[in-house]
Amino acid sequence: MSFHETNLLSVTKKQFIYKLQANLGILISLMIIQLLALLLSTAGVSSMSVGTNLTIINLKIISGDIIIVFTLIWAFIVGYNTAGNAYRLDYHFVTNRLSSNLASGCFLLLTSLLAGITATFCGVLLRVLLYFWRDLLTTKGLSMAPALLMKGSYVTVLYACLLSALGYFYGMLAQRNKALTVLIPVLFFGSLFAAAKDTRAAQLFRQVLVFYFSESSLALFTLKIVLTVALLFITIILFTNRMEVRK
Amino acid sequence: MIALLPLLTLLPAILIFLVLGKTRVSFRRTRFVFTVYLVFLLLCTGAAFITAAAVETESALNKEITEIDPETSAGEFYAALSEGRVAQLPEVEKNGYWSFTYPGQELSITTAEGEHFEPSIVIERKDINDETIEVTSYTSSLKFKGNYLVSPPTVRRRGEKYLELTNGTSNVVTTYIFADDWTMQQFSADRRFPDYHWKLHSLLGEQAVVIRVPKDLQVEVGRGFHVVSLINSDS
Repeated sequence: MSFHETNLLSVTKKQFIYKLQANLGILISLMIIQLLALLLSTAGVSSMSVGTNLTIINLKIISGDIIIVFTLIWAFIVGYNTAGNAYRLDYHFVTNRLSSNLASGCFLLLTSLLAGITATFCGVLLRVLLYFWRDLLTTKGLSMAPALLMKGSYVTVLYACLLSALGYFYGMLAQRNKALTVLIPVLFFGSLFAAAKDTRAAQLFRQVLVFYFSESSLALFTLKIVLTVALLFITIILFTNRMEVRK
Repeated sequence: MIALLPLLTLLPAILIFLVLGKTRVSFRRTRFVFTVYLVFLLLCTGAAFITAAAVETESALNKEITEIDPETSAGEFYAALSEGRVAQLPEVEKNGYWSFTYPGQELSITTAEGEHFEPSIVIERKDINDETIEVTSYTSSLKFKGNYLVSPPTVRRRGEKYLELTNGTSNVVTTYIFADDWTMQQFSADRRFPDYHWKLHSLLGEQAVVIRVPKDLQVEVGRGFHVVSLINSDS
């Protein structure tokens, strides 16, 4: 029992700083992941061939897609690990589940921000490297308009937020019940297999993907991501709020 | 072996993770390393802007590739070819020229046994009997790294009355192009080069060989040719 008067904001702030100092090392892994993805991207993310009987042009398309995908996987893992750490480490403070979840949310928001920005800019690094290294058909696209670059970073940050929130949600569920650690991936990959066939489950899965990936309005997309992340965190808070002591 | 390179890059990455997994990097060091990384990325972005600005002004290829109109370019080429004015087209260049003295009365144009001669051919009869056969190869193909994407054919005299045309060497060109990331494309109206496949075809361009023969020379064209037209000819 503490005799100090505390409020939610100050506790959350302290926890956030603590999480930041304890887990900032993950940014090194982000760097390594992005540089690894950059290396993998040097061969092109996709290709097409066109030709006659005498001449064939193999066209390799270069973009930062692999870097972004790797970064999003990283964001999911960070979300999952943060949930685990929250369960184990947060009770070094006078705290409750609400402040812990809020601090985790702030931490994930910051990591998503850094991940999204660096992922997009790492794509520019890829372009610069390949400009000197490969035979380009055209230099168009070597640099992108600042507005496009900002938009790309912003969208990647939003996707990273979504993925880390999903990872955190999954991590919390897994901490609550170990059986879910296995059950959720089984359900997820099962639905992927189902998606390969034309079933009702597949249609549902496709609709979920289309809901986010095919949204062409930036404002609506932002709203969808913000609402989804908020919904995930509210669920987590409600789900874990009754648990006031270390498990 | 080249295909294995990406996999080989995984090996050092796994090793780094194994080492880092056991080593606790301090908060201050992490902050320093990541700040350096951020600054490096920003500098690279600046470098990309500067390089692109310098390159795009001098590269005509950028313009050609984006403003290409595949349907009209092929149509114009063949229309000009059949009318004997292919050399006048601005995008067409001469990529081969051969001249032979030929005093004979009959000429047989052949290609290698069983081969299909890829470029279209035009036989143009001159106004005079100058005993000279002139063969000119034209292409509208794009120049890549100083060379045309298509090679000129080989033209030579064979035997008494044969002119042999064989296809040029085959080329495989691997090239790269930049595309926007999917996070950028999701909200843009023009998705990733939707008609790029077709545009690439027109980069290869068209190729034709114009054979100018003396006025009264009897010409016989063998199998394996696609003759577009006979200019100044009765038959």
